[in-house]
Amino acid sequence: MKKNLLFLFVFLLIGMLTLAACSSNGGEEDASTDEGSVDNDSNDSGEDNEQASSDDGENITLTVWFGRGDFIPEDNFETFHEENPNITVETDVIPLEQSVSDFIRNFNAGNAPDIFQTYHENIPALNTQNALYDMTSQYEEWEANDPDSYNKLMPQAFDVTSYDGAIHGLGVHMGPRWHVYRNDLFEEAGLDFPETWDDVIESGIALRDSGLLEDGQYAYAIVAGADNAPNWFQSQFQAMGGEYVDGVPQMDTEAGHYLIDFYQTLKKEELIHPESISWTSGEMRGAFIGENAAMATIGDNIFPVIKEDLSEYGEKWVASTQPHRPGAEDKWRPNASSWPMVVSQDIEHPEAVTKVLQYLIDTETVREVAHRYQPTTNSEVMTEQEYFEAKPWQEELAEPFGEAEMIPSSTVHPQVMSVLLELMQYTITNPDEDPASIAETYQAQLDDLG
Amino acid sequence: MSVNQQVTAGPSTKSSTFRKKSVPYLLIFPAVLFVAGVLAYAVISGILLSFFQYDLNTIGRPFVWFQNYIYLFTNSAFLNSLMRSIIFVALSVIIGLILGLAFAISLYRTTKYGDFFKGLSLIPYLVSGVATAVMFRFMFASDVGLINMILDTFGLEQVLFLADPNWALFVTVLANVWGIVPFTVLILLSGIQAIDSELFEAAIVDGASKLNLLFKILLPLISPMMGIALIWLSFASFNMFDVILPLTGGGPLRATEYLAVYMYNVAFTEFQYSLGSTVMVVILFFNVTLSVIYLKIFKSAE
Repeated sequence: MKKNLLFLFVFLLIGMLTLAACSSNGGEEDASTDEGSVDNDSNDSGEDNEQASSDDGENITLTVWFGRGDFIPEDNFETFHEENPNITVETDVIPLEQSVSDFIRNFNAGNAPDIFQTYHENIPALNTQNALYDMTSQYEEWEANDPDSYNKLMPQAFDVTSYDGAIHGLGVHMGPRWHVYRNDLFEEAGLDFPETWDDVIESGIALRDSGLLEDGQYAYAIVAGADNAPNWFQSQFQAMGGEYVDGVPQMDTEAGHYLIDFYQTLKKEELIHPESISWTSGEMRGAFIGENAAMATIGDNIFPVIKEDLSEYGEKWVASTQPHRPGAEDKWRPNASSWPMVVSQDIEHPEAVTKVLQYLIDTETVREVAHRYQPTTNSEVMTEQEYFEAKPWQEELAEPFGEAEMIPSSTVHPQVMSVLLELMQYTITNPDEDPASIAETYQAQLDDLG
Repeated sequence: MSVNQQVTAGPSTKSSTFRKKSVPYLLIFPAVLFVAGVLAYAVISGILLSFFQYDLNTIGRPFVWFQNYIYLFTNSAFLNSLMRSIIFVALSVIIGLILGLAFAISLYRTTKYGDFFKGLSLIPYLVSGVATAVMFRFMFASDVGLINMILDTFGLEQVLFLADPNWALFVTVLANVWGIVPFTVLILLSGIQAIDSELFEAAIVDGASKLNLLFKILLPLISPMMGIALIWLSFASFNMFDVILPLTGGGPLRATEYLAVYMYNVAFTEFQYSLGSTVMVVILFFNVTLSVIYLKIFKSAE
């Protein structure tokens, strides 16, 4: 028996050692040869490769991870390949939620994609790991060589990936959240559209009492489920003039207290579905699209679906900027999220990578994606009549879109989101507790993240 | 000639015996390698990682001794998760074992179409966790949920199953039990089928009641299988993840954030990989400890 166990142990040990040996060798090989998949293996240094790619027209393969299939241009780089026959772009879809973990794993193994898409909030943490390439000099060249295409881009395209004085990629798309409401119900009830968050509550109560809402229909829809990041909550905080210090929201402030009170009132006045605390973003959107909610805060990318499933724009629904907090009009600001294309530190062909980014944001390429999905930071596309026809709400919202601020973030952003999620859920389940006391408790947790 | 043969046969017999003994190990080697690669390697790496600080906010991977463990056991979110997990596992194991035993006995007694019903009872086990979660979400929804419709029919008040922390825990236990009981039934059924039926017949002739049959004959004789069933129920419940995440996401208010969900959130939402590994070690510890306890109990009962 003992001999058999010894035998088994030896086999296991050999197996483990073999695996360990394989993994470390593989990593080294990957790091030295696989990245960039350069056909000519004689060049070892990235700089040499770069020189070769630009001078010799050497064949280059770049890997690009998109966070959603919808972001991939319709032609799937066909035109790009025609224009750049020596560069092959291989695409894959790695969900945004998985992007950081998958990228870091591949990066540590020396097998990272050249460009990948992630939430803009992840940039500080990725920067801490020194995993991102600084594209500043490439962009300076771009601006000098092709100012026309460069100047079409809104500042957010670059700001969104900027951290510690370096630009790590390009924000090709930017998604603002707007306030949507059922204008048919508002008209029927004789209500003005709310300009402040107080008006939202008042018109919600008026709608509730008007008899226009049937059983199962509510004045407002929110996302408060645990399986969604509290992005809408944060967006409303920002619209209310919420402040951030080093990317961390300050909840123990006037705006923070007001936001907590707003959510408590929604619950107390039964303006939201009683199960909202378990709702996903899909259920919140579904409530508005399915005519079960009269108001909501919804991202621009969902509007084409609302247009298709609820009604043409203006018939039953209208979009507007988010309301402001009474007395804090000057602190109101439109806000947006972005899912920039960021560049790996390991790239060997910065010029080729720049060409891919230029292609993705080129008017001819990005127009189609912006029309059917997320708005772009290419100002030419966003001000075309064609775009306004495809997305009629944009004509009125073009100006705030241009001024939209990104949701601030920090290296501890994921932990901040956990605290905010708990704060939001606690607020809804404790509608009678003092907002200042709730804010104080959770602010302490946020401060501890340091 | 024969002497020479005998002389030379010594080492050759030894080597032939060695070869014979080696064959099973050689044959099992690919499987061992596979398990070692997929599981052992990951587990050992995870255990090692729990002694380092590896997260996206830290440069490098400093060795931090037991700091991650100290952090976890002083962290209210983890302690809440641990407590909730213990309740979840205890309820799942108790309900799962009772139901599994009841179904196993029923299937044992089902002579007509027995195979069909055995196959049918396995269906929940074959359904994916996400599909189970979606099904339970619809069943327990407030507006269109089947359960609330039934309550409404009887004039009872609507229950917000998924919005109430305690009800949400109950729903996750039910969804978990629904998925893991079928395999428990298989384990227990195999134990019951191995019992000589003459034992039951003799006991009935001697005037044993049904309860006597259950407690004096059936349960003692299937105790090894009960041990295996308990290990399965505990393992499956402690590791439960794929149903919980789409069903409640760990909420409301972390009420269903069991250890596996907490581990996922810490490691892949907050990018604190070492802390996630530490939670993995805690789960592993509970699984191994429970298995040892079960095996000890049922071995001594045997």
